[in-house]
Amino acid sequence: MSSNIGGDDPDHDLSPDEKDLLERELRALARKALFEGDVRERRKLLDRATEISRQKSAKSHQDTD
Amino acid sequence: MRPVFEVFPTSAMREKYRALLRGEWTDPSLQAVLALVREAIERKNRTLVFSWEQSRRQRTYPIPPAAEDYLVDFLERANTGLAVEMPERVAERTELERLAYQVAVFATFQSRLGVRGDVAFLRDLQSLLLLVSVHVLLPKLVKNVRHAHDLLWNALAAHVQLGGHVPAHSLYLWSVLLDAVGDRGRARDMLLASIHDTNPREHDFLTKAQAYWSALIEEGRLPEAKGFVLDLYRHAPEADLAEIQQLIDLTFAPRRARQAG
Repeated sequence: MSSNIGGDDPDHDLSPDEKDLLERELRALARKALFEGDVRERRKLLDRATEISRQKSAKSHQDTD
Repeated sequence: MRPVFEVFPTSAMREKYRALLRGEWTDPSLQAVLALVREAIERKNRTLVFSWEQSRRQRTYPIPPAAEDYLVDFLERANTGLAVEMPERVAERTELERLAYQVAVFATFQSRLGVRGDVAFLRDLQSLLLLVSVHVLLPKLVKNVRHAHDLLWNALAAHVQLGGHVPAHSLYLWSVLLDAVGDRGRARDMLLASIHDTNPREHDFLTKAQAYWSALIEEGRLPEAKGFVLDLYRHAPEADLAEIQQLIDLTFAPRRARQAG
């Protein structure tokens, strides 16, 4: 996907274009690992892709003290 | 009143975070995530000191009269502040225990201490810390130091309960944690709930969907995988259809062709 809903990416996140590129690469590698029977590697690759691609936390201005 | 830590990430810290997102998840990356969490929350007047980092001990270790030579040497070095050489097996266990304890403290930081400032940055760092720990540290702990594995898993679960992530991400983290302890059925349920809570136009939707489809294939649930991937095609945005078509082709291909990749 090339767009992020809301468009308010936090300033520590990657750009949408970079996310697109990385997540596609990792998903392709994960499909390969799946059919090679490497379950652990498949999980790690998709967890990496999800962590890259998910929209990061927005600044909440809420303190926890 | 609880001590309060302030999070004000610099541009260098943000760049380190982005570099960690791009990089592979390995032992050094776990150390790097831990170091960045610490850098983000510590200030000159607010630092964290783990017990093994204290440079000077208040009391010296007593040396038993009947102690063997290696123990006398070990205790003398410890008492004078010199680095001590532990037997390899003990050193490895100790290092793993310390790592587990550090991750547990940083994952549950907000439950013990106050945090102000860019709490969102800390929360995202903690999410990365959880995931890297699950893939890099938990497998070592379960083999070598079971009590540290259990402590860490429970601390990570507490983080998911208290961490303040959006529901879709909390559900995803639950699925990762349940999968790590072999509860595949509930892990799949949590992952599916996370997918249902994620808009198909979000970046992570297709990745989560592939994770669910992969779990079904790995567990030999081919009829469910077929139904899921066809339903996915009907609801996905146009930009993702080519990649979903690949999943469909792989699902409906004969077993031998799937293995050939």
